[in-house]
Amino acid sequence: MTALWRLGAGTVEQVRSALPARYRSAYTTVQTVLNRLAERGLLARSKQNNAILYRPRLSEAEYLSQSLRRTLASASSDARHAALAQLIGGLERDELSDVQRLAEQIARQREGRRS
Amino acid sequence: MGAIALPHVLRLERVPPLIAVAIWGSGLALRALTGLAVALYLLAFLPQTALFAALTHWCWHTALPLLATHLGLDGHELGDTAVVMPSFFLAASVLWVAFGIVRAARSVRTLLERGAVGTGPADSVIVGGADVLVAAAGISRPRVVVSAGALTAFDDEELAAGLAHERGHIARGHRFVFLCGELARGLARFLPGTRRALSELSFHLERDADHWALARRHDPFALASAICKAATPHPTMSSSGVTALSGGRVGERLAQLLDGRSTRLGSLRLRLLHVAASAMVLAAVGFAVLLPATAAAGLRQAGEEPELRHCMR
Repeated sequence: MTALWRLGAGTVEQVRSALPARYRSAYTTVQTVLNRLAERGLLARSKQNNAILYRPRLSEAEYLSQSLRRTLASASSDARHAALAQLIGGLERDELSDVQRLAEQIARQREGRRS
Repeated sequence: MGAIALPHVLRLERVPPLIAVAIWGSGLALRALTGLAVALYLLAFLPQTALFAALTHWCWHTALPLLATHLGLDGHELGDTAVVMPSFFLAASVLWVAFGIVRAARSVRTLLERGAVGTGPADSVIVGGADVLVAAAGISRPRVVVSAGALTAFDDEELAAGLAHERGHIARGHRFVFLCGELARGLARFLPGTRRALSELSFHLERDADHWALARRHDPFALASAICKAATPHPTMSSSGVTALSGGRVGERLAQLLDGRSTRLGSLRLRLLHVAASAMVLAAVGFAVLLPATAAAGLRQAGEEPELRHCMR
């Protein structure tokens, strides 16, 4: 997304070239990621000559806005919960380290199931 | 009182979520009805008791002439105030909770109408934000919202499982249970354990949404992974955004998703839990039916009572 915000719009190759060297993956990997983001509604695709042009559908400012959380920041946690049922439900402060440990375990198990 | 204490005694963490929701929800309803009953008792029945009459039949200005004259106190007015104040506080508490919910719901609706970036996968609404947020937003017309950060952070399976979890909240009408629970908290604020009851109700509603997603063949590991990503603070967001939320037990939900033991209960225990849930629901419904009739009878009787004779100043 950062590369596309900088470019405004670009083909797979242009996006790939705009990536920092350490993130520069294979052409097909970049293409897969861009197609996935387009399918999810973050990028718009258009055809230019023989190439497909990807364009961000939201600005960098919108991406960084955190609007929903900010909107409900002043609401009490209970009112917020009633109006916004989130995937994580509620999280106690001391749970965070447990969740991080579990996240690593889950990532390992998912990796194991895939291979 | 036994029915109110029962959910706190039973171990419900791993029972089928609907049973737990029925038990904790009925417990909250009984708490709210108890709050109402106490207020009605103070309003309609207490003034008829001998103790109340003994405390307020005389006037303060005859017993404490200096103090009463200086402060303008009257024994009867104090008695009336003592009787009315709990009802006043109860009404104020419920109104405050209702106002908070309406304000939050209106903020969400306005944002979805004006601030939505576009349409996301599975008819979700994309909102700005680098943080990982997937939520069922709104009360009258709920939508699944997904942040731009979540769209970039989740893989396909995680996104599908996360969206299914939120669709579960909407399909099962959890927002109405949340609302009733909140209003019940407003009525039962003064009873110890009410906040925990609401927190437990929320926890089991989350589990119910997890089960709804898993029943649609979503991978429990993908859902667990999505929960972890949503729970772990993103580098660009402040940590208070997540940790300020109260209640819930994400670790316990993750453990249940990973080992899948949530519904493996003995048939006898399951049957007993069904009986307990049914008894709790019946108790709440019975209390709700009896309370207005009892209150009406009390108020009628209070109207027939001869007026207290106040002393003459």
